[in-house]
Amino acid sequence: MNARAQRWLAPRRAQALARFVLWSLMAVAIGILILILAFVLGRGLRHVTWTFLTAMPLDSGRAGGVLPIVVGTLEVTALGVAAATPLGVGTAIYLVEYTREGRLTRIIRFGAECLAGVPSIIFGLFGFVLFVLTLGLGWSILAAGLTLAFMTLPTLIRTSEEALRAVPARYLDVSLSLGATKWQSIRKVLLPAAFPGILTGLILGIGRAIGETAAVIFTAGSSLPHRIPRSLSEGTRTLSVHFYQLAREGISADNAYATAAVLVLAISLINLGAYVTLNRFMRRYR
Amino acid sequence: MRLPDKVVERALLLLALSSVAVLASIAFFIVREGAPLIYRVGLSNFFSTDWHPTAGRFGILFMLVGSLAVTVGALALGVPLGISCAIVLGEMAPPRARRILKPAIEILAGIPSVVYGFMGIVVVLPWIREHLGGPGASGLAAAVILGIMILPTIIAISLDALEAVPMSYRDGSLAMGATEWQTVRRVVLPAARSGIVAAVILGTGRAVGETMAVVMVAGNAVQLPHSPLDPLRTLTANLALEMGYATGDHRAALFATGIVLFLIVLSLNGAAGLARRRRRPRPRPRRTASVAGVPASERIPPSPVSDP
Amino acid sequence: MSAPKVSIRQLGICYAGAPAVRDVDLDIPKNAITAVIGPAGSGKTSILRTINLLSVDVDRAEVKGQIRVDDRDILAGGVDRVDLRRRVGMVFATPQPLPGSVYDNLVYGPRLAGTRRRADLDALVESSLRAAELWDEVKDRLRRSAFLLSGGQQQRLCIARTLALGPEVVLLDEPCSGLDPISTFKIEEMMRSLRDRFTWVLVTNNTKQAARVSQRTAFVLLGQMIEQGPTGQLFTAPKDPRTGDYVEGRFG
Ligand SMILES: Nc1ncnc2c1ncn2[C@@H]1O[C@H](COP(=O)(O)OP(=O)(O)OP(=O)(O)O)[C@@H](O)[C@H]1O
Ligand SMILES: [Mg+2]
Repeated sequence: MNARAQRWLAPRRAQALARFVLWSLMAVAIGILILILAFVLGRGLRHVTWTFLTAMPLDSGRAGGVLPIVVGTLEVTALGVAAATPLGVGTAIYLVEYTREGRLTRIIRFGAECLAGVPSIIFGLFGFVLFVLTLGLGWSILAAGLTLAFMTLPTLIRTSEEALRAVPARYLDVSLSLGATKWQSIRKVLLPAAFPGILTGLILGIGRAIGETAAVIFTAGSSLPHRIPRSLSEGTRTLSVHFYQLAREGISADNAYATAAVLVLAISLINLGAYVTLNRFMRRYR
Repeated sequence: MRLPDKVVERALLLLALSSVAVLASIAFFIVREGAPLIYRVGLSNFFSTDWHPTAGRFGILFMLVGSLAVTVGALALGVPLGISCAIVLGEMAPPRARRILKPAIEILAGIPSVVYGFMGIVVVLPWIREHLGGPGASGLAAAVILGIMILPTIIAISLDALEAVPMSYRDGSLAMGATEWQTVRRVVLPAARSGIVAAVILGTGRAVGETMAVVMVAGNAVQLPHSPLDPLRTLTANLALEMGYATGDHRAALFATGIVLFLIVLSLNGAAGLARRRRRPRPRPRRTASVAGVPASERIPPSPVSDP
Repeated sequence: MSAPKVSIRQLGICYAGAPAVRDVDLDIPKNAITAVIGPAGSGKTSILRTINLLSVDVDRAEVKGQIRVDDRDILAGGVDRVDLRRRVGMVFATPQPLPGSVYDNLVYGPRLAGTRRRADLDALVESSLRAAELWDEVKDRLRRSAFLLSGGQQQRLCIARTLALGPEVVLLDEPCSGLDPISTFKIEEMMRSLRDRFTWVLVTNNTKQAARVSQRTAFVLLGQMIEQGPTGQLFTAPKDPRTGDYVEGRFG
């Protein structure tokens, strides 16, 4: 490094330059977010009317509303999260309370991490073969819900594990010393104390499930429903899938924007909710 | 009621094995559906450039190249941007700013891929058409959208890595008169290196596996892209586009593509796991917690200021 | 001395292969306060947590030797943990209320033990709070969170919670560390007044406290039992010079 360059890059200068560049890049990222929100909400919200939310879709989505689609989305999501919760929370309890770090926990954690990395289209293929074809469920809310359960499992495991680890270890000591079994201690003391953290995982899972497209399109199908689903074995089209069809086929820009606005608003609120819950919870045990 | 603890433990172990079981059954079903075809037509057909599934030619090479190209492009955009954001969040932003910026990133993470794809259609494609020419739908468009989509992953995991660097490292460096930037560059980043590498690898995995957004902006022509402005088709897009109507060998070929995708993502995850393997989960602060498990290399800070 | 309530023989405790306590013998008489003193890290807590097997179940300690409670060796295996811990209650070094109200804390153990009737629980709450000299201070806020009590009150709540189990032995691990002199005094008073109803084991690193309240004292050092005997004798005429050094504060 020659003397001139060195002077130009004097620590104070480098410091100022680095700060400027890094903050600018941060601003770019935030700018992208604002752009997306402004675009989608700005153009979509005004088409989100009560009728839009409560009417049947007409003319392949060109007109009318999204009621059966919203209901189908909620059912798929609820089913997914409900099925994933016992698996995720159970795994977390086992990892935190019943076993020492070792080969088994490494395998379990690695399995969960890999599952988290599996692309949703692969979940779609898998759900299609297993639930739709092999188990004969057909394109259905049930098949999509179970597929989503597997997709949200890693999130649930991770957040539940963190939540349980944040519970002070002395609660277990105290509960055992008062004549509780380990399982009673977990049920009556540790799980309630970890509940807000576990709830965060649930909320995040819900957000992920609502926004999912690739895995749902092959398991719930994509044909436009003309009535509110009456059973879990009916196929449905979720909001994301509906939006995908509208946007890709250029069916109706207004309805596409409105659907996107509903999606983005719902998911953003859900994620913010999760973030706030988690922060409250973690602060309690600091 | 008192459940015997052994029974509870067994039951929980079964639940805990569920994610491994799911992973195994994903592998099982995809391989069952796809592997026979690869075996039958041979690797040279399968990895050729000729994709005419109805004519019995199942070459996925162009799609493989397409996936590779958009992934590289996405990394070129997402990695510098993501790591910069992580540094700002972890090292520079005052707490008040962090309280706004962090949830903003969470929101970015939650936006569904179809919305990203849509933003590509209404913002990126027209811009490319106007300023760079070509059809708009292209590898470049896909790379831009993917670069943004992998940001939250890269930011979150790098930030974890930065936050895991003990405060004392920074204090030591600052106390020796280093500036904040020198401290970040020479002390914090090297100490967080393995976590940041893992962040990049996992970001790669997300880019390779992303489907819907890519379908919407990449143009999807099965061809060898000669410039970033050419349309291309990725492995995932191929699955999404053809799965709906494929039957017989064609469908088997798509599952075979799924095997390739699964293997790529699995090895990326394995690599990320290796990069992070020294970072054990934070032990719960209990009496049994021992510091003995931490390798010495992680406890001794690298020499703070080693300016040549 | 009549037959001891708890008698420990050749007790060894290891954590992950590292020995923490070796060959400890200790007799704990009924209806008296036995103090265990010794410098930090000498193994007092480990011994205490082994008497109700918490060290084995939670800390995964490996133990050998014998601990006989009423002539039943609890280290021999096949002991019902729940039953043991109801008979051998424990109070921890810092106040450890569980999340929930004062009342919830007090009835946690009894409910698990099968006491369901409201009237029985209420009576138990009142009698154990009275025993811990806390009734007058908290009788109006039984339904409020236990975390809202002062530190000293919390610790007495924890003692009351243990008494509500109806234990025979009460293990106290430095119950007054971190408390002010008044709270400390109240706890010592309470122990004195209840001395004849329980078998007390008091781990303390305050030698004066041991001298004030206990009838017997045991001195452990580096995981070994150095000396035990009547408190007066141990403090005035120790057999081992190290004991004298420690109780007079001439020790590292
Ligand atoms: N859960 C555990 N895991 C590993 N080692 C432990 C554990 N608990 C205690 N030890 C070790 O056993 C030894 C005795 O510790 P113990 O807590 O019994 O001492 P103590 O006399 O109660 O000390 P203090 O007065 O500081 O409370 C110490 O060397 C300690 O490090
Ligand atoms: Mg102790």
